[in-house]
Amino acid sequence: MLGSRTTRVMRLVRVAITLFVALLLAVVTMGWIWTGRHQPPPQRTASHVVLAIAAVAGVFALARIWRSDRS
Amino acid sequence: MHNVAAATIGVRSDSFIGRLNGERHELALRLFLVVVLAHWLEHLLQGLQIYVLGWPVPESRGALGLLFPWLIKSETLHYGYALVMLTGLWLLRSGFTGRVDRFWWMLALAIQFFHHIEHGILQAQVILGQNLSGRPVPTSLAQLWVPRVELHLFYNTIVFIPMVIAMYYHLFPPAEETTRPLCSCALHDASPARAR
Repeated sequence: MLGSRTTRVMRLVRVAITLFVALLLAVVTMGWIWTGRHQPPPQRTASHVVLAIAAVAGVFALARIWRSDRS
Repeated sequence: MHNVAAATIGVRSDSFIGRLNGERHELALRLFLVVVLAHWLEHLLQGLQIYVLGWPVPESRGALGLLFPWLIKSETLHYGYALVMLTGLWLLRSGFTGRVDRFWWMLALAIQFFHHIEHGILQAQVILGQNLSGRPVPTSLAQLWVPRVELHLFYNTIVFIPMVIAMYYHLFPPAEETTRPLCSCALHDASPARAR
């Protein structure tokens, strides 16, 4: 069993990472929209690919940290 | 205890690297994280300036770049930061003794190595006075296809995400992790390293 202090710190760390990823996803979403409007097709596609990978990486990190467990 | 664990990964516990990955690992990781987050702040701010405020890309220089415009235009500064990041990931790697945390840290290190090569290519073009593919500005390999702002948002993300996962597992090792840590970073209910 995890002690209460460890549990609190773990929750705090998870929330901090979640907030960062949320900020990252917000910037990526805005970037997706902006590049769609302001960049020519080849660059737009390339930007969308890298922004999508960044978003997936962020979501993956959240899944990893929230689903990990200790005994 | 530290000597035994240090010996298993070939690091002398009384050396600078040994102390950095042992008793000073927690402090070193915190300082490293502060540096990385400060850099992130600049990139996120630049994203907001372009995507939300609608500033022209050359004018969107984050916070420091607004105060010191030459900073963001300096490839040396960008290369220097990439080198700091690479050095930090390299120097602090031995402290990641677990199977899971080490995997993610080494992945971040490998990706940062390539990111650093990209910045090296940009720096080389400045030094040689000749840009890749006759471009008007220094251009990295991936930048031949992907615009710079989005590319570096991407690079920073794919380095930072495995780094954060590594730090998380370093702080909260999975139950199946049996390797003895060198440092006091991990939170355990009755960790000898914590019971100071």
